[in-house]
Amino acid sequence: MTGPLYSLGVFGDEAGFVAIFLIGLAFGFFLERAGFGSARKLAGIFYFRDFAVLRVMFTAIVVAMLGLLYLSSLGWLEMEAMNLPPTFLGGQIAGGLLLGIGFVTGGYCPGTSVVAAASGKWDGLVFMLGLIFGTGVFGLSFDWLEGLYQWGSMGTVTLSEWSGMGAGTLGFLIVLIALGAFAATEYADRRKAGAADAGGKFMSLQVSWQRAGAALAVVLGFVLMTAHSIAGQGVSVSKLAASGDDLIEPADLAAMLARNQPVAVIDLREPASFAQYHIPGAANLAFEQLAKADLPRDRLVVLCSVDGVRAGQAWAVLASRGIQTRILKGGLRQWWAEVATPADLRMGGGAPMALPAAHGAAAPGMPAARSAAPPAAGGVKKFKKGSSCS
Amino acid sequence: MKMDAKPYWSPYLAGIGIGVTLIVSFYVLGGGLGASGAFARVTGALFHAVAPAYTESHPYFKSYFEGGQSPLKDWMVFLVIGAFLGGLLGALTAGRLRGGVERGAGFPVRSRLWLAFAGGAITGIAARLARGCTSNLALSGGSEMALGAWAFMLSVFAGGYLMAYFVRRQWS
Repeated sequence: MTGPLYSLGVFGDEAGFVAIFLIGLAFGFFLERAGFGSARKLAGIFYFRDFAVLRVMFTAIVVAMLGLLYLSSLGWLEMEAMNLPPTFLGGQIAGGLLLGIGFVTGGYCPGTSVVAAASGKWDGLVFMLGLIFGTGVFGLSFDWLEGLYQWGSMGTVTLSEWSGMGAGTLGFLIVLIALGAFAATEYADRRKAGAADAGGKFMSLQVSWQRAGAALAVVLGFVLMTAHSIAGQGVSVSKLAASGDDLIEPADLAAMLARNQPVAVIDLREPASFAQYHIPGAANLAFEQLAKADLPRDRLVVLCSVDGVRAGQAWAVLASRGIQTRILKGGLRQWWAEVATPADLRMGGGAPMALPAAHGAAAPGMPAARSAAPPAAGGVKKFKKGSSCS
Repeated sequence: MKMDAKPYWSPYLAGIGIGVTLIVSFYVLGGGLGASGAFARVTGALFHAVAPAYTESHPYFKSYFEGGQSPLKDWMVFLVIGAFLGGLLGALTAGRLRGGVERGAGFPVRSRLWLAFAGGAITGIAARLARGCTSNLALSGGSEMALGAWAFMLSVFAGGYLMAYFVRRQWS
């Protein structure tokens, strides 16, 4: 079943409270087992004494990141229905520096102070009281802090969108960096323990579950990178795969639209992104609607998504229905880079952009869903939490 | 008769546990873990108990009161209650439930508690400013590869290393 289950309406709010409680239970248990109820152990990272914070945190990030990337690549998780924290560089850099200072001063961060208090540590409880006090100070001085809080707003941008690197490549890189950090800190630990053959043991081919896990992470990361780089060119990783001939260059599509040639552009992104900007005359359809949508057979259907991955999967669906379909090469990202100029982007909305003559050219014969929110995506609930994030 | 505490798990094993918990949370609920949000909710509720009108029109806290529900009826609050009980369960089953104050041997308890309070207060301001903490932003947002989450994570380490020297005595 495609997730996120809550966002796609599989269960309601009350069940959500039970689910988040159970998730919290597991989180608290693993934090305790990691030793994160101990301030000295946590603070050890800042004195190069104990690397548990780095190891636990990066292992969790690598596991969860690979999980997310695989689930979404297999179509089991709708990434656009996920709660991605927005980027506000000012608040996040200043807040991060300040949180690091608070961490080493108090010995905890919010989550670990709860676990410390649960294991009987009075300083954990006092830290929690401090948190409430500090939040109150923030609330009282919000007028004064709001400038910094809002500064550097970039929306929900990912590292891969920001750097232009593919998500698979970036994921593989993060795996390698994490494993490099693990190897370096293990080596430092052995050096400190005074092992004469620290290098020798590090280099040996001793098989342990850590090494097996590291090897597995490298393989998973590499497969992901390869699969994504193929999918990024519009070729689907699903069984019925598109080939290079099924791609259309952004410039060719632009030319077809400008000449009013029969072409129907289907935009697979979520309605909010579609509302912000879309190729003139494009229709907004959810992936789930493709199997049944009434699509024109007298014209070429061109699929577009952000980077072409989703379009690759959609191609397989339409191809199996015998509809003449092309994938916009490189997705909207390449379209932006090659066809749409920055001035067009600023105009926003559904106004005619790069190709005024072509606006609406693709509309006749298109399903009625044009620019209306598709039912599936329209019913998406966002992760339920305070509107100001937690 | 007092049993010795069981050793901690390997950090990699604990990390895998947290990572899998995160995946389940993403798949089931569409979002990750969090902690500081619950403290913001509690603070909002306290503000409201003292000054209801002020809090309901406060630019930061007013959203907690839209719809007329209690600000504490929130997922993040339930998550943190779960985390507390999970931590308690972990401590009990490992024989680690012991009252005390974590500090270096020669460091006075009172000073350590003041530092814990100060650190908590700084962290409370910081987490609101950053729109999240190590759980919500660094861990959850980091695995979603959000740009702001990684900028935040690097800043946390930078801030910690900058400050570490000045508070070192409480640990040794």
